[in-house]
Amino acid sequence: MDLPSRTPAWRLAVDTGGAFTSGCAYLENTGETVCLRVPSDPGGPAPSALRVLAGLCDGKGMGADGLELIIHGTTAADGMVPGTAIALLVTRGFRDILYVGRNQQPRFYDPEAPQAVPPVSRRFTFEVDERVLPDGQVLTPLREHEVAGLIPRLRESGIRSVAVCFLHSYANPAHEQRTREILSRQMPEMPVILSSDILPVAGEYERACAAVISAACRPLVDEYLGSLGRHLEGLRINNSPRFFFMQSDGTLATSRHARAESARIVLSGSAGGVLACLRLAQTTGRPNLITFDMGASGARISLIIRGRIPPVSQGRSQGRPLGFPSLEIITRPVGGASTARLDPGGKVRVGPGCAGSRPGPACYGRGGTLPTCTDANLLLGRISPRRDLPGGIRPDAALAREALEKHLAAPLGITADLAAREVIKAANAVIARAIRTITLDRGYDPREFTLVSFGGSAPQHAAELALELGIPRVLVPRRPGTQSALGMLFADVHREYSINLNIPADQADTNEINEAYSNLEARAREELAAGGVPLPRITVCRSAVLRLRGQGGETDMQVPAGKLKQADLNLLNRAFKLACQAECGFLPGGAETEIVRLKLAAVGKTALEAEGSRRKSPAGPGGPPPSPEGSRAVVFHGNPLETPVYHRSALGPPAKLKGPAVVEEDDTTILVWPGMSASADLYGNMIIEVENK
Amino acid sequence: MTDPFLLQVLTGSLRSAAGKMACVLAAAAASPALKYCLDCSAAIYSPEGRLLAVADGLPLHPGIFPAAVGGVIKSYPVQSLQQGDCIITNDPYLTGSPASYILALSPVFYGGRPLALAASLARHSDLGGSAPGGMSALSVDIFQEGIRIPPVKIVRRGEPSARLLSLLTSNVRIRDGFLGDLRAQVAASRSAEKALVELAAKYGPEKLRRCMSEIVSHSNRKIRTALKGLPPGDHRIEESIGWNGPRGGVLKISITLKIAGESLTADFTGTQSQVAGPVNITAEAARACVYTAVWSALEPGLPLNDGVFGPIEVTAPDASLVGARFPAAVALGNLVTGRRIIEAIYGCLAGIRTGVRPTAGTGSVAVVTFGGVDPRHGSYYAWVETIEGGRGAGPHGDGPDGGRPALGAAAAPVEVMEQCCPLVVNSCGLAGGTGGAGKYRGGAGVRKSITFLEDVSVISAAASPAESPREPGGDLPAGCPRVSIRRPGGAGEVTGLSPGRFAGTLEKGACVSLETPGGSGFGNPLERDPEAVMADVLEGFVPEEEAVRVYGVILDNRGLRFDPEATAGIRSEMRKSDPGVKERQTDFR
Repeated sequence: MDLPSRTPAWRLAVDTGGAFTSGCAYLENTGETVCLRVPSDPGGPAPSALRVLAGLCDGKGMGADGLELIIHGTTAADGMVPGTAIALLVTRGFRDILYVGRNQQPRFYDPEAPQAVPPVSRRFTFEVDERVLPDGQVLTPLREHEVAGLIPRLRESGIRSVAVCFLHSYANPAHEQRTREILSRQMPEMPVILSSDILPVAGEYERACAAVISAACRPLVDEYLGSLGRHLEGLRINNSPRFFFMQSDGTLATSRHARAESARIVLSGSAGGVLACLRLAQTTGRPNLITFDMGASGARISLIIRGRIPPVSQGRSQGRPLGFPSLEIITRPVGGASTARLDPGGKVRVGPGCAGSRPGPACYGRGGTLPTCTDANLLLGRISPRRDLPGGIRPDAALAREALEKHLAAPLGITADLAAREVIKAANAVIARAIRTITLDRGYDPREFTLVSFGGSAPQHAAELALELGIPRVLVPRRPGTQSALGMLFADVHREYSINLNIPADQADTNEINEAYSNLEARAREELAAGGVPLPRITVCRSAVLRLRGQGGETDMQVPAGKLKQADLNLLNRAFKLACQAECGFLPGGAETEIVRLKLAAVGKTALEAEGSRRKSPAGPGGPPPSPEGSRAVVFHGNPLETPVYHRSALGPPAKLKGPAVVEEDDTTILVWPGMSASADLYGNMIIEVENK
Repeated sequence: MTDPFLLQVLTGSLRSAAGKMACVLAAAAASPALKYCLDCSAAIYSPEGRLLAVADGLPLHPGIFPAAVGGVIKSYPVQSLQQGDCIITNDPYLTGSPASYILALSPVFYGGRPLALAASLARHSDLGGSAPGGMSALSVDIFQEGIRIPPVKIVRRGEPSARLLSLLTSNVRIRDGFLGDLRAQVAASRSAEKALVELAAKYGPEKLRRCMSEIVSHSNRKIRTALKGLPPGDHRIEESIGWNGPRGGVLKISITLKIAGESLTADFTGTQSQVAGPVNITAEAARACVYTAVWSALEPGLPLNDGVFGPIEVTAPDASLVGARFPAAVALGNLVTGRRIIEAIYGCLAGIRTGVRPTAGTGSVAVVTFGGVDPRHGSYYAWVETIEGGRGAGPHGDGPDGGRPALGAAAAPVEVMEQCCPLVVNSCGLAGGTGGAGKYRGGAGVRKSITFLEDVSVISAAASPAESPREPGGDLPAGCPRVSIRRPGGAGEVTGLSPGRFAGTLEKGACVSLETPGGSGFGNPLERDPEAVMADVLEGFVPEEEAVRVYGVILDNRGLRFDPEATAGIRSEMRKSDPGVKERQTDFR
């Protein structure tokens, strides 16, 4: 029988960063992963993603026709807010909704703390005559011609998107919706984001922030979907791939939801790496990990405790609430391409300035004149002067020396080598402090953790950091440069649906509740299926938010599946009261239970079960120790040490090598310090024992 | 000597446990003051009552706590307590806070022996007293500020005392809110108990106790070193506060800071005697202010615990403004007097340490309390609103705008305010044109206007520096907060008897407008960067005519560009006609 030859099906995860973009392709039938890292396109995330796609199809033989699913994550969204011109429409009298916000001081008395800059300035905030009361009643109808009158001003200000936040719109979104209609009729291309869509809860400052951040990120998502869509169309692929976006909390959103609520993707670039580490924790049996990702523009640190990611928190970016949950990741602007300078006190500081990939570090020879971490590592012999850096760039040590000499060594009156050492010390100081914040300050002992290092730059710094912080071992996964993209393949689609009830529990009507849940479930299945999740892979989980009338404190209670009967509601009420009792030990008499909200969490199973090619390689009998490719002088503490250089492929289990050593691979260079030892585990991860006894 | 790593881990663990307490408290709370304003704090103490760790939060609380906890365990020695007990008190003479704040304390046991004390201090929406909310500017004695609860055991081994609760709920206006917030405080204590028991199980109770001691010694050593680093000597601080409450006047505070070797003494001798109105603070609260100011100025990164307080002595004369004697009223003391003391001492120490005084705050604050019965549900509501003015500019930059509480809790959202009280907020925002002129512009003041939908009793009062702030170069008098009332039926605008002051019942439909002044400017306005002036005009902070008249900047007719030649020209003319004169802005608009 003639079977048409079909291009094998595969899925792609793309992580676009400022300087580099990585892509991981997963072949459905073999379970193989193919990863690729390319320099980002200066045009932004969309052209960068296309580059990776082209690289995989042309360079690595993936067939464009077989592409079924694309997951996209980015660090670019975090920088969108100050950059994008956004207008904000508010209820008259509340122009300063973002200024007189609920800025709680995070510290104690600190009058010198810098004032936060609102994401939209007053001149782009426009007041509209309308007013709604807390119960949704209209006090002042919307002045429609006023809204229409704003259009010329919006047009001439060069605004790229509009956010609307009217008071109490969570109770009655009609005015916000009508405003969008009016604006869209005359400006159909202009995205209009409504606060009532994004975050329909009380609290005007948070809602306005969430709407504004979503408005800022929307053009990015639109452009991405637009260019990728056009490109794939141009390739005349038969069934267009489904698009998903990584969310800040480590789950996926359908493209429709990512467009509508763009603030969800703001911290997505970091989330992928954490998911990859979670898998590592499971496969390697190491439940406590400090995840350390350092790329070109920044470092990202988070924790995995007892094999779990700590509960998700309210997302914040640049001091503002995002309105959506995010993983707890500490980011610092210290990366391989971050520039070093002298501060007014004469100390070396690294970041927040970053040379990106253009011009890039001085050693790239692309016109960059400021010294970066990469330049420092090159001068110290830690990066090879003979290997190409990602992107096919041959590093020029002379340029690196010149940059360090001119900007740091000469003003300080020291040698360029010492200056390079200072740059690395300064960068490490920032990262070490962040690691201390996430461990010691929360009562976790770093000596009980493994430091997982990935990204292009982390493996060069990890061993030294581990030594300083008392962390006993470092783990460098295979292909560390593409871990963030790989991790996205382990994410599921998640979405929450809810409906407010606010009725006393004893007045609850089971029919009403069952119908409400059915509606939520129908909507969930429809939206996820439309977004590209196969129906059989959608599961739902129900809960209800209860509280004691007038006594605050809401509790989320699980609700069983199926048609609810009165007995079920009674049981729920009892369970709730018991939970309250457990919380504080007593329940004042006469306290009435209220059902505040019904919730439904929908999950679309898209995560891979296991990374197929992460097969265990059988441990061979003890063989000869690996042989180095060569050696070079590397500066660790003081004077340069002649250090053997290995290629990572030489290090299969049970081979073990002793520091000092340099282990190189396509993605990155791993440094093993004197006194440490390194080996590969059965999965190909490299483990560095820091204190070699 | 314990492994320094372990000490760091345990310092972090204790601080996390306190932080978790504060989160649980806010999550479980009933009233907006706790849920949204986070007007509370949480801390962990040794069984002897020494502060071990405190959650980030309100500046005044950590210093107040020690005296409060000490007072409680005097009535209830730890040996007499049992697992599951909870003691509460709101006595301002113990807690140093207004009567609306309740301190809840629970012992934590391990292996039958006391391990620690978990405490939280939270503002309740109403605890009785003459006015809803308990922060009335009219009070002249402590009895008017709320029911005074000496330390009492409200929960005994997990069982609440029904009779005590009944006594209390009969004397507070918002019964459910009170119960809910109290439950939240107890829940917070239990979360700390869980965390501490886990720690003791992991590290062993003896080791934990030893480490707790070392954590305190560590902070003690560090603060001593910081004090030793300051040049020894005496520094005299004189502060005047214009208090416009119903028994208003100028309040004079004198502080002599004596720095000698490793210790610091704050001597308040010379401060005026206590007054009839509720702006007095107790000696304990004065001590708390000094602790907060010293710690924030010298070592804000240092773990805050009892060790920090050791080298600091405070002398507060009895029956003075800072050593209030029973039954003096104290409801607004921390807000008016306390914060001024913190600002003054912080400024002095920061000046000694870095050679530069921080920007002078205006010190202006307006406080409005109102309440009544909400016909929508037939029960009481009470609300306290404090609004700060814009702050002064300094030698390095513009002053921060108003509305951002530097010392107080967060502001509640307007939407929550409207959910809780029968009113409509007409507007709330920065007042353009109020920031003082200068090379660096003072922060803008705040305007808030509210229309009441039902009859309501309102009390408002304000405080501001009585004399202009003493920065070199900038000397704009900071104005005083103002309250204006427009009654329904066209009775015309009624302004308070003196700016900021009002007390009375308003009918349904009355509109109250509150305005706080901007901060003072710094330096010569003619030296302000014309780009900055242009931005000020575009953003609505400076009216265009002021840009010309005061700053000498000529903008084109659309205001999007300034004319550099015309600007240079007019500025040199202005300099010629009035050399060295800095333009001033009158009070405020």
